Amino acid sequence: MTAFPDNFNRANNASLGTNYTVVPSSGGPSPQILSNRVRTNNGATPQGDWLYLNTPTFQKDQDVAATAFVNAANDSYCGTLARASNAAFTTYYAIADAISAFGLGKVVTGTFTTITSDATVLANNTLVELIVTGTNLTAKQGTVTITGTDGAITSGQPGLVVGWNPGGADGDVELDDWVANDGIPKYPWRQAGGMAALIAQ
Amino acid sequence: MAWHLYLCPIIGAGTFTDQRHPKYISDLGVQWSMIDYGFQPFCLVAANVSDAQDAALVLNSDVTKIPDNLDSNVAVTATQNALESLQIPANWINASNTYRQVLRIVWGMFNFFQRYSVISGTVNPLIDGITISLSTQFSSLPLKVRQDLIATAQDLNLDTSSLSGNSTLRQILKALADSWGQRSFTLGGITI
Repeated sequence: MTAFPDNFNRANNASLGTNYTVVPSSGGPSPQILSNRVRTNNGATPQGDWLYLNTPTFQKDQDVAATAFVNAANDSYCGTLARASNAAFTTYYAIADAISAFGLGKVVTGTFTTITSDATVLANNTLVELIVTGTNLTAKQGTVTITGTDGAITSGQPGLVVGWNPGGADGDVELDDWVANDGIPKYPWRQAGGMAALIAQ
Repeated sequence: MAWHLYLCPIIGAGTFTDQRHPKYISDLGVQWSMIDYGFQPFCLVAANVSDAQDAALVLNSDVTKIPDNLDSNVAVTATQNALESLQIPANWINASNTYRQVLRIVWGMFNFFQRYSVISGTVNPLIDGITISLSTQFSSLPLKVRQDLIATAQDLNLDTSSLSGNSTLRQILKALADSWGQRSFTLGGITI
């Protein structure tokens, strides 16, 4: 089993570091670390920053979670990715939005498809999670759980996304305490000690 | 509110702000979940809708509601016509089939084209009904399409014996779906 946590507790930086690949075709630059959290980095035009972890290599079944913070209720979003790759941008995603629907979807060769949607909007300090097991997809936003079925993507890496649409801005939403596991169902970060115990391993 | 199943078109440009999604249903603000037919412009969608929303949805000529009792026997002609109009092979359906059995075979076909889209790297529908139809023979398909179809079947550990010679896409998709088998799956609040 592979587990990788990142609490982003490091110096403010314009990128998350060399162990992440920003998906170029998403159009967004790298997100930034500011005050130990992740937010977008552009400030001028609407953007979506999608990126995935380079190493270690994850098995196909993945559980990817992060805590989402809402600083301003504008049209801004964040979430987690599973089975992401840079092959013309392919991934499964769970995206929570501060003013609109919670979505579970896929990107195939840069084309976006919503697989499941729920009207619940993102509240401050909410866990957003994507679990992909075989063709079964589960996305959680706090106590809201949505599911989907899809067979398009069978491999790739865990990742994360932050972004905003017209009306939003950098810092409207932020991510923290991102953690990815494979070999589901195993959730060491939920065991005693949580993230701190996992980071200490 | 209750969960129902529908076949309906997929709309959307595929950009982040205009993602591919089920026509009509995604405008209702209800919970829904769909499986697409790869990049064919149709999907099977489950939606948690009110009676009034359900009644309005079925008034659309491009929406087909699946009966709620999935273990009832299919209405053969109506089911065949509904599926064939969406380029889904259906000439194999007979009166002894239940809707659940049919949907599981359809899921096998959908799953194949979903995986095909990634392996082929194309987001264009393979079956356009003009240059390539369900009656197109495997040997008449472009070389890359043939290679990608075989690679997809191998990737999914499906029987590839239908992917040759004079087999039509209609025969191929059914054979691949049979190889996929009667696998249960869940869409929204409905286990099929």
